Amino acid sequence: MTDRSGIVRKRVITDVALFVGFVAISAPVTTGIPVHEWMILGFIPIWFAHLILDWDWITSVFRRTGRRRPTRVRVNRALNTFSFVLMVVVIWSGFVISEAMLPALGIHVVPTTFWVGVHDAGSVLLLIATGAHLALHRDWIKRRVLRRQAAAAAAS
Amino acid sequence: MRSTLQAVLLITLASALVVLLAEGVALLVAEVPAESAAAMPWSAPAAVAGLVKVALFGAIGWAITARLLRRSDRRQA
Repeated sequence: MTDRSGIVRKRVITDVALFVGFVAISAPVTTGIPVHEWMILGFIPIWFAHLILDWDWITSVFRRTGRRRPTRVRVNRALNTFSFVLMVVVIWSGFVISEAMLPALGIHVVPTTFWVGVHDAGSVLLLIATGAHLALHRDWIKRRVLRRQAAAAAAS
Repeated sequence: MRSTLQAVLLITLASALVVLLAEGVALLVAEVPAESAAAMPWSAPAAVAGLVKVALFGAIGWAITARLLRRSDRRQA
């Protein structure tokens, strides 16, 4: 396996794990609040891995070049920045209103209407932003799925 | 390795900055204790509704972006 295909493989595994984790964590009424809260401990490292694997892209789009970047790149950069801020706010507000994980660790917090509102509104916006993020990367996703199907067909 | 450490450090710093700003806003708002979410009983219809909500909002984001991309591609062509 070449370095390049190794990185792509890591990216695919990380992104699939991130997607599955995000869907599960975004549905607290489905999983129940305790599972929803404990899952964040597994989700944060996967989210960090997703950012680290694309670190070169992140640094390149924030570097000053003196030239105007293509619209798609600028939209992608703005959306990803917005999603990052939302993700941090949603995770933090989740800790601040924790009713299962933090109390189990001996830390007692009183959920307030402000943080519950921020968590709920932020989660909805994050779902929409994630849908947009996936749409912006649909060609990459399509290529990966088609390549996987072709490899499976060749192997059978 | 060095670049990974640098990335982790910068992501953590940026996250801390966002948290500080959010806490700053929280200081300006009168905080009222909220109802417990953990006390809500689990039910199958609510569980399905939770997943439908995820799919619905994700689809809204996807649809809006896909439409804007198509329009932008058409304009460039």
